[in-house]
Amino acid sequence: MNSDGDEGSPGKLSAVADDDVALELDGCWKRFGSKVALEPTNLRMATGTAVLISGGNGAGKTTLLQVVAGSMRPSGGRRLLRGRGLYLASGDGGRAVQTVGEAVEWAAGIVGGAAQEAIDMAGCKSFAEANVADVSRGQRARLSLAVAVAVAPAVLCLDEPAAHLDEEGDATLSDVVDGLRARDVTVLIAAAGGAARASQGWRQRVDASLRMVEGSLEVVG
Amino acid sequence: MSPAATAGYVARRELRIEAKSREATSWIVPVAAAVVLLVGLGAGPEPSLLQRLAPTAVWLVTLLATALVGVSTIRAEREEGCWTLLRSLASSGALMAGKAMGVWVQLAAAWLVTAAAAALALGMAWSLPAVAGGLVGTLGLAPVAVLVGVAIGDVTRRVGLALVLLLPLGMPVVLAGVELVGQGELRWLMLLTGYAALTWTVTWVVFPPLSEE
Repeated sequence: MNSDGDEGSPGKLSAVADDDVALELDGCWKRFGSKVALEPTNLRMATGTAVLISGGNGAGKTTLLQVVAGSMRPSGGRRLLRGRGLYLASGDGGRAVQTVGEAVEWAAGIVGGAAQEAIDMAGCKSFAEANVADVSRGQRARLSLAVAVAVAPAVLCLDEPAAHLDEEGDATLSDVVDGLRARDVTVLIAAAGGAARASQGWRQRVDASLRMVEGSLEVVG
Repeated sequence: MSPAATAGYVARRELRIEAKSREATSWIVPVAAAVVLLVGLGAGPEPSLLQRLAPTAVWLVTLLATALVGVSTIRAEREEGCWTLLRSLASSGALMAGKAMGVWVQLAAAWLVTAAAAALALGMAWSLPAVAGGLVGTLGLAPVAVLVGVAIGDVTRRVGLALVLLLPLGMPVVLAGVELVGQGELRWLMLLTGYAALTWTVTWVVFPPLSEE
């Protein structure tokens, strides 16, 4: 995994062989009107690796993740994605009138994934028959994790996945990310300042920690 | 899953969600009844005048339905956190086609319900070309609805803006559809078919860049 940074040494980051690259950003940047949300960014990640991206509100984390996942076109630069990219903010993945189970089954069905396994893994079994509109925010966060497991994209971008999760949910999130990495899914996790500080454990679990500051990506460790 | 199968999968999801939420159904039926009754009350008891006005009422309700269904089908996906998921899982073409097919079924149902009400209350004549015109006309309007829904994105006063955009875009369907009910000439059906081919092609081309966030 490589990232150009303004500070720090690559640390755990190491060169990625070309045939192992799941994601490559080559000078990608994004502008909204006159505001540059993402400065020219280089990033290379190998299959099955994970990074934590911290940063304050409006730092550009969501823009970076959406550019990486392919749901937002960069204003410039080159993006290479080996396989499907998926961006999920906490709570995304189901329409209000769908049941949690229906939402996961639909996502799994389109890619040939296993819905029941995803529901079990994300801890959604007890409320799988409930409408998405009727479950709590924490349970919706678990729905997003179940969709991520069901789809198992090549590159998964989770935006604030721990938002609204309890301690048990945090453990589930860790299990989900570990399980996906074992299936060669490359994972990017964005967390705002407070959440990132609260999840020091994450820094030990991921291959690298990056920080977004005013649209620029910096290596933390 | 092939693009065609994916489009069908998206369309089935669209229709299941409508079946559960009844968001479109809940206003199409009363609006259709109100428009038909108002036309009947406004035009008076002259049967020939009622029969002449009935097709216009049917197609105006259909055009209104196009604006509302088009806006809601995209807006709800965005607001409920499913739009990026859909775009990740389905190719642009399959997503557009699936959404348009789902919208088409809803618009065709709206046309049929309104036409039935117009037949009962205003004495509108049913004919095979008229029904075919209803199906083909709404087939042409469906991708326009999706396109307008995507194009206006998150702007405020969406429905008003959608109607402003749809009036010129949908007017050929309204005119041809009205003439088809009144005259039953197949050249109007051919015009509706050409319109549908054009709107599907244009939407197919324009949808990918427009669907970018």
